[in-house]
Amino acid sequence: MAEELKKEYAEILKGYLQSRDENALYKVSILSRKFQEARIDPDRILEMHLEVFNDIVNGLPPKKAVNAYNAGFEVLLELMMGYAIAYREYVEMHKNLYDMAREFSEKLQEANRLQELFISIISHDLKNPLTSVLGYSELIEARAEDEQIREFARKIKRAAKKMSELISDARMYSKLRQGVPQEEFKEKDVKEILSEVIEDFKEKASKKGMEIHMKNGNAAYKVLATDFLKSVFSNVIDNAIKYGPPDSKVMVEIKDEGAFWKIGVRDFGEGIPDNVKEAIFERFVRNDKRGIKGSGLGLAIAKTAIEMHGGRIWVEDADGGGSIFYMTIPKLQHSATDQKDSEPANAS
Amino acid sequence: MKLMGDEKVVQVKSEYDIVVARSVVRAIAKDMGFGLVDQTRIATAVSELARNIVMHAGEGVILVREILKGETWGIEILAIDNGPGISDIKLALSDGYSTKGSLGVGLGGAKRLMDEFEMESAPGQGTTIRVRKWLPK
Repeated sequence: MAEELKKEYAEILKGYLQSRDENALYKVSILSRKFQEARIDPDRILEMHLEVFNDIVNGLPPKKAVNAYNAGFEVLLELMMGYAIAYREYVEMHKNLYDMAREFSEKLQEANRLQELFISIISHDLKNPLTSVLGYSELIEARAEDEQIREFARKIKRAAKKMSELISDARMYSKLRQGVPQEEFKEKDVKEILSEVIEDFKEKASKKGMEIHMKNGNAAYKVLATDFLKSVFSNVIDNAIKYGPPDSKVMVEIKDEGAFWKIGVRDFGEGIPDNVKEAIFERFVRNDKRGIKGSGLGLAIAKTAIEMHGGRIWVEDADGGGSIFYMTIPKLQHSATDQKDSEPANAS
Repeated sequence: MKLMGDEKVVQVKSEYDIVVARSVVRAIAKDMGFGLVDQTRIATAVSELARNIVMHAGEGVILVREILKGETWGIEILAIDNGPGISDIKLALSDGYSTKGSLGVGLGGAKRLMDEFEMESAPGQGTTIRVRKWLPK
């Protein structure tokens, strides 16, 4: 680009030195914009002018060379004048874009703030009446003599429970989005958290004839984590039970991956199509809605939470069918009792 | 303000006329004693005014004249057209504004190069732009 412009400039300069034609100056003024668009620096333009000019006047008799020198200066002036204006315009345009972006960002922040506020209001104000709905539907289920009415009560109860979970998810997501204070990060053992979660889900799994297995070494799997980490594991294991076929297994594994612990949760379900492997971690995307309970926020919460811990979450196809959800979490390199001041999350 | 001497009028219809306008204005500015840098400023501004006429109005005129205010000499250039006019003058003068993209430096550039800039325009009424540059003493 610079070479082409230099050539074009040389042609015009040569023409002007011969004809002193205003048209040449006009062309230079138009050309100056291209120099600016090509981001050629002003000092380079001056250099280029001298290179081109010297090539042209080399060998001219002294008097002609002096005249040419003045004429060449006029052309250079025209070029730099146009360049300066194009540059100023460029700067102003970017300033305008910057202002627009800043304004947009402020509006966005305000919208986010309102959204968080909204979520926190609905989560508090909806939970209380729901407790009544749940309580009375249970009461009806227990006392009604008509089986059909008892069935209606059960349906009401199920719907109310689902709604309650949804509200809890929304509240958790909102809390995560606002950021979690540093003091909530504590030294924990991944294996212990996983064992607790597996214990919590044992009953649910066995109702489908399923078992949860964990494979790990004897090491201490120390990390710095908040209580959200348990929610992440719960969510992923809950999903594995939901999507796994009856009488299948859920396999949990912890691996040493250098600076990270890598946790894999494998199910034997239908697997997740490639085109939604990333989208399932966004809000309100679910692979298959039929018969599967959940708010659609679960994996979005897991992703936000795991990233807050400095790790990642993703899903791969497992050999022999099903999916493996992987999560990484930075290892806690120094025990907190050894070096209390050390930077915690920065494990790498 | 006195009008000194004749005024030169250039009909502007094509790119060729832009060059003529530049040429006429530059010659007058040079005769008046404007330095090379100011000559270039004025020529670039006229270039822009004339380009604006060709691109937005199709045709118009550029008027050039010498003026005297007190003891200060100046050059005044009017760019007049009967084109569609400009509804938002402030926007047209903002840097980076160009309705047809290929516009050279924009009217904002012309304004900055000169000492005075006035513009009258309304949709359907055409546009008149007056610029002045005073000769340094």
